[in-house]
Amino acid sequence: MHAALGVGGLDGMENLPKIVRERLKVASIVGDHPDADMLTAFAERSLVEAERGPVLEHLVRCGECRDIVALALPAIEATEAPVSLERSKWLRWPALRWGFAVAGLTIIASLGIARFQHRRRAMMAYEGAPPAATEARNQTLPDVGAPEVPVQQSKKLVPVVSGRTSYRERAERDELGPAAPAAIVPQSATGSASGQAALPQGPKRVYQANEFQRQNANAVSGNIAVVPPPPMARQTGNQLVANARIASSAAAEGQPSSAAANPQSQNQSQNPDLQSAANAEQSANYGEEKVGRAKEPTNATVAHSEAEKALAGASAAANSELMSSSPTALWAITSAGGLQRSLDQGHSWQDVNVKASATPAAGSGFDAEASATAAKVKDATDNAFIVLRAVAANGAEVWAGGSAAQLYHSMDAGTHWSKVVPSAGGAVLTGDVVSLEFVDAQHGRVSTSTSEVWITGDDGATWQKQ
Amino acid sequence: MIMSAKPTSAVQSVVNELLAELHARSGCEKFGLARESLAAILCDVGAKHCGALKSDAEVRTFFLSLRVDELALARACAAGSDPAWEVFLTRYREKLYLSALRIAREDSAARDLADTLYAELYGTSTREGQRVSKLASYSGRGSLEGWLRTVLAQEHVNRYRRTRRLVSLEEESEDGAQFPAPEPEAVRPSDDRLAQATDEALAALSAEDRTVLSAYYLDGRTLAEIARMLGVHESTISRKLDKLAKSLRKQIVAALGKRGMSRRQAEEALEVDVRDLQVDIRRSLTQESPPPAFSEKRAEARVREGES
Repeated sequence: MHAALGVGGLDGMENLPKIVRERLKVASIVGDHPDADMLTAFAERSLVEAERGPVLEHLVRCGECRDIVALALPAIEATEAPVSLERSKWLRWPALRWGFAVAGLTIIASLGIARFQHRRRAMMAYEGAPPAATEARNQTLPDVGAPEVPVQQSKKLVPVVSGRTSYRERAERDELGPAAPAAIVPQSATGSASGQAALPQGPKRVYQANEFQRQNANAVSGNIAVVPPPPMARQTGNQLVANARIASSAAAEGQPSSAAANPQSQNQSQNPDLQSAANAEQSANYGEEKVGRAKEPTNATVAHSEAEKALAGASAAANSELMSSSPTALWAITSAGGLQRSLDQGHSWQDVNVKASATPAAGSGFDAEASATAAKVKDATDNAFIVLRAVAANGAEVWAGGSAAQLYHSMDAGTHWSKVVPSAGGAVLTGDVVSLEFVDAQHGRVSTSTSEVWITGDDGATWQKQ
Repeated sequence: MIMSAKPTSAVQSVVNELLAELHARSGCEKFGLARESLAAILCDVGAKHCGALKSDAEVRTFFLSLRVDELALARACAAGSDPAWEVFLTRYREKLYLSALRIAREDSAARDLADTLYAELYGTSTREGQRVSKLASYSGRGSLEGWLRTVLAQEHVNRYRRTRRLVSLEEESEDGAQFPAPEPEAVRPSDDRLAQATDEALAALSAEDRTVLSAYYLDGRTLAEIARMLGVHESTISRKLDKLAKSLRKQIVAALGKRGMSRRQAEEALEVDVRDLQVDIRRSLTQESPPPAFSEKRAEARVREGES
């Protein structure tokens, strides 16, 4: 979207007369360079207008300071790149193309075999040769079995999952209106990679494939992309570890303590797929199912289970750290306006959907029931695509804001979000939220594109407009 | 950019008023920073930055918006507190290196850059027996992380300029001081009227608009970068540039009209490639050397200010 805007703009921009560039260059530098403090505060939009003006005036004339401000921008693209790379491995067109091709072939083959079997049986009956017929039937059975067994092994769940998915889709559509797919958060990079790698974990992969399709809002043919792309056969150590991660996440989700309703178990699972609260029950079911499958001893190697244990430990540690408000969770805004969280010092990033679990009012309860009802009352406009511009975190307290005065607050390191609408004396926050600063859990400041500054001293309960 | 200091008494009274809250928020005891030292630091920061603020309410907001916790951490580090350094390194060591890598784009240069900064942060240089740490110049106006990135970027830009200077022996021998930036009036392009009209049109723009133009057309920054520099949305910058290009052209043509050019002449004047037209401008531009921006000497001077 942005790229398109950029290109569209560029066409017009090339018309700038050259003399303008020349005259821009000629402007001489006046006064001292702003110091690092001022430049930082400028870039973070924490200067008042009276200070911002002179800094801007200096930046007009001083290419060096412009360079400094640009170079000192926080590393959003840098952290974003690996994520998109890894994700693209799974979502890349060749992979999908292979997926479609294999799916098509499988369907045609099984149809052909079924028909062939049918015809042959009919012919046998017609020819009236009982011993040959039984023999032939015995022969055809393994014939049919050959292509069908792998199909069943690798995608045993296809009908089940797609049926379930469509049920979920229906449920979501009923609850959230036609824009429901926006509520689904993409799987994390590791999640997708492992989904690709893990043959025995067909169900998970199938589930992801379906997720992807629904993301594209074309949830028409839930069955087509369920066949894994060829590269999945290469199973590296990394991917094995990733498997373990899924297993552990499944284990965490399947805990009897009503999985998704419990923020702790979600954190523990490191599952970036922040289920919308409306799906709480279903995801609990999923969890149980996944546990059932993950625990199947079929292909679980020693390394696998060891990695599982190690990771479960690690994620538990991460979780406890997170809960004790240590700065383990890193937050970033992608250039596309998405929110990402890293629980491992920036090695991997997960998309976090503030909307998925957003409750419309601030500070409402975090139990699944309340969130579910909240999700139900969400109107269609609320599902419009939002672009986040700023994030501020203070331990488990996270604030994220963006286009169209959207402001979200999480008190549990991003598991649950509530929408916040700062207002004071009849005025409400307008414009895009461009910067968020929270010096501690209580005191924060929100700046908008309309140059409004809102201040809270009580964790967002009351606001003051400057 | 040091503003004329607000009467110190006004700053001091606000600091006294808010000290309890700010002190609680700063957590400075952890780093062995006494309440009195924090008050002194706050007064120092206030004296430096409150010049532009008019009312006491504004000064109060200023202090409340300071990142006192990071300010306390930085100043405690500057004073050589071990627990403070421990916290600082845990929080920023990794980030600092990653930022340096992003800025220098190359591993060895990044390490070099980060090492140089660490030396400055530790305060390898001494003045009157006192270690001088660059952290003493952090004022808590922006985030400490952002400040560290900015300082890295400044160091990088300084280095780049030094290497560029070394390439040009002539410039080096002259030390740049012999070449003050030429006054725009001193430049005589072949057609004064075009330059004047352009300057007039540019002067009518807001500083932000001109910054956007400079960043885009002179520095070759991307829309996304400019958007983040100014804290606005990318599409805003895109629209702005589009609009500016159109309106500037119109303004210049109008200004040329006022100077007695026909519309057609004006349009033609704009189409002419100024690179052919204004050889002397280009020559003077290549000789232009910006004033020694943010040299180490000045950085040190600031540090001293911070100390005193």
